[in-house]
Amino acid sequence: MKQFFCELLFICTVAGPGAKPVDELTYGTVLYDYYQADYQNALVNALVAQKQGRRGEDTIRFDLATGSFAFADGMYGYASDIFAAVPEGELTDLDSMRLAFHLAREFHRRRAWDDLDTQLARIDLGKSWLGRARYHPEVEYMKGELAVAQQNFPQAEAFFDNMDRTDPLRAYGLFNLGVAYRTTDRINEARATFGELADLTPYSQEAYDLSQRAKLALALIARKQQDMVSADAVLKELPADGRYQEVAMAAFGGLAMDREDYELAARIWMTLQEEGYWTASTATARLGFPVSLERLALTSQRASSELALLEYQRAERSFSARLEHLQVLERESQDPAWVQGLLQVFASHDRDPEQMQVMMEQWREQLGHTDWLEWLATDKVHQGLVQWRELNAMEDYLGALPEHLSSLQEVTFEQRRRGAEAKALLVDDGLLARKAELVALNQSLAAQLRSVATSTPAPTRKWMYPLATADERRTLDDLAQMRGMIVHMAEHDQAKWSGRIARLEGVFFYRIVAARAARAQTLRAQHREMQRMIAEIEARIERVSVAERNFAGSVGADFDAFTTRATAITAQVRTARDRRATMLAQEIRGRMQQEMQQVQQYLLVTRIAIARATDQLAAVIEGGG
Amino acid sequence: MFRTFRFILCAAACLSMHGALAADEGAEVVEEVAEVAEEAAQVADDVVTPEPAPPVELDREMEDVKKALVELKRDLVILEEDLLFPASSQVSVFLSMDIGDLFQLDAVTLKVNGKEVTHHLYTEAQVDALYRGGVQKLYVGNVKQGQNRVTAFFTGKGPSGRDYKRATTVEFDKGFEPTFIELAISDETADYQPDFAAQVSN
Repeated sequence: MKQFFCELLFICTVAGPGAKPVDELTYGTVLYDYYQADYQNALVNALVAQKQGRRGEDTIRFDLATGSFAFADGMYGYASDIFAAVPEGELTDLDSMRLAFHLAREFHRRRAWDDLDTQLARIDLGKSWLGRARYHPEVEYMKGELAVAQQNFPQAEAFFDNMDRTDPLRAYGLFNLGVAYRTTDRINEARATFGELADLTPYSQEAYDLSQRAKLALALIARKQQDMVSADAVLKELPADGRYQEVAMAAFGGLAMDREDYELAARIWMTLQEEGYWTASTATARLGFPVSLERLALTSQRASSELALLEYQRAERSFSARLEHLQVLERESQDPAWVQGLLQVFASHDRDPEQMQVMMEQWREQLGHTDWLEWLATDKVHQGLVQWRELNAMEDYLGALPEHLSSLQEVTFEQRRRGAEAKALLVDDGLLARKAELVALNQSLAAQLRSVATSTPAPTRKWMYPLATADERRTLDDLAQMRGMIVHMAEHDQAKWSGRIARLEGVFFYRIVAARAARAQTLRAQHREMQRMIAEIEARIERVSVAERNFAGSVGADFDAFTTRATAITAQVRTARDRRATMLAQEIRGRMQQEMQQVQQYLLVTRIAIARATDQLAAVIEGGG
Repeated sequence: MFRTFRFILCAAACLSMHGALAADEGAEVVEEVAEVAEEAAQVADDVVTPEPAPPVELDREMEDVKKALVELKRDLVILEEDLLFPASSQVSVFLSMDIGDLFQLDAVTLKVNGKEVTHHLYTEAQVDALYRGGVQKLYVGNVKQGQNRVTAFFTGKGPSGRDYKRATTVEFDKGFEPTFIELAISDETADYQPDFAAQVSN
């Protein structure tokens, strides 16, 4: 199974006998990053390999993986460009499927259903050797989503059924299917789908959240179907501390009012309005409570109109105070520093938790809204915040770059110094000259050896000299010098000295002839030693030369160009970050205005109710009088 | 929420026109509150996606910035490698795992010419990445030219969950080109023991 998934997505590195080729190892390293969700590093290393010509033989596979890394890192356009550049004609069937898979993910993300349909049709995973159809969870999820979009619901159910029950994507698919059933008035199917999701054992945080939402949806459906008992039962199942508990309570209150159970409704609204924070639910409760009391007063003696009026007045004070507070906040939020301060809460997820808690408490106090993070929980704001954080991280990276570049430049300076040293070693210290000397000496030695090996022994200086020891050579030199001097002597002295010199040379000759074999062997050993020394010097020269070339090469790195690029990107990052801060500030203000509008509406309704309740009370008093 | 707003506008208009509310408006408020409560639960009707798409314009801007940064990082990696690990002295050590059923990797210690150069403790995610076919670049450094020796010590759990420690060594002759060494952990099915190999890659 592992191998199969690998094949569809990327193909794992192939394990075989012997070491893998370097390019295969390089490919494996980018997968290593990818599998740990370090998408950007995977992409950077893939681009490095590409520039260094290490994509290996299967360049298509490498390019598809690179595109996928870009996609995973949120660079959708870049990924599309990479995929578009893959030459269709060179794709194998498997490559085509991989490309279709990556493109399908992109079209699914964009909700481009027709294009998604085209790409999914190109993915045929075939059958296992047992004849069972092969499924890939993400492919089945996308197929299911497509079927939902095409309102082919039975087909969608079939695709989701092909997925593992605990696959994280299945919960998303089921929820969306339930929503689609509900919005197309297939209430029973919606109920069954949400029911399946609600009954799932929560296998992840996401699944738990979706299961809670499904329960809420079930309650609303039951309520719509006038099945108050079921709605009541489902809502009671929602945990008291869950994310949707407060929404569920509001729905529960609404349900009680539907059933005209105003006593229960009043109790629910009272509990909810006692929460010290403001949300749509708690605001509704502030209005719902006096409304319930008023209705209760009409139908039973368990409440009075006076009490309802008092509660209406209390609600009015509460709405007025909230409105005033929001107006102050709204004015403050015009100040960019205020917005920056708020965004700092999200600046870094690895901040000290205690420090973070203090910061959040401060903001909570200021905003007076325990659930104020909900303001920022929409997809748009969430994405903006994620990008804002990413941009902050980029700025941090770029901020540290000058120091890093500076240390690299230090390295180049050091290398330049070493390069100069290496050059000096080669030229100034005479490494090359010494080598030349040795080579010349060795050549002479080789010539002598050849001569000894080929010539017949003769008592000549030429024959004897190469085989003579150092002492013998000195004596032979002295004798040669003497032979040159005797020409100045009287004739009879010349003959006498010449004879004596010849005898001495003869002695050496016989001695050398006797030791010839041993001495020739020594000579050959010396020759070999000389050759070894020359080889050593040559290797050293080669190393020094390579080092010199390497060092000289590194000096060419243009650090100024890097700095210029980094500066330009920093400016881009700051602009992008400021735009997101502006967008987020607008969103925050928008949310405040939305809440202000809501509070104003509630205030208006409350004041109308107060006027009506006052009139009614007055009428009662007048009637009674 | 819009229905609430419409109702409120209507109610306000009625108030201004007639100066008093009709008797059944109290019932409408009740209905409205109930509807508000239902609409507060709108959360149950939103389509959900694992990765929602951000606004297109911001998306594109973000991509431009990211792409420029990624390319800068790429060039820096190459520069660093060229500067700090010249080909004539560079040695890189990689770790791969095949199957991995018989050995649960905890840590690797690497020695180059007898000197410890790195020690790596593996997280679950890292082991999983290796298991799925990823290859870890465990070490990159410089060595002298000529004969060198790399030794890796693997610790973890062997078959039957027992503590397991093994070492493997490779000797190589460093030339002028970069040297790549692969440490491979595989399952030896013949004797049901893990196998550890170190080889120079080409």
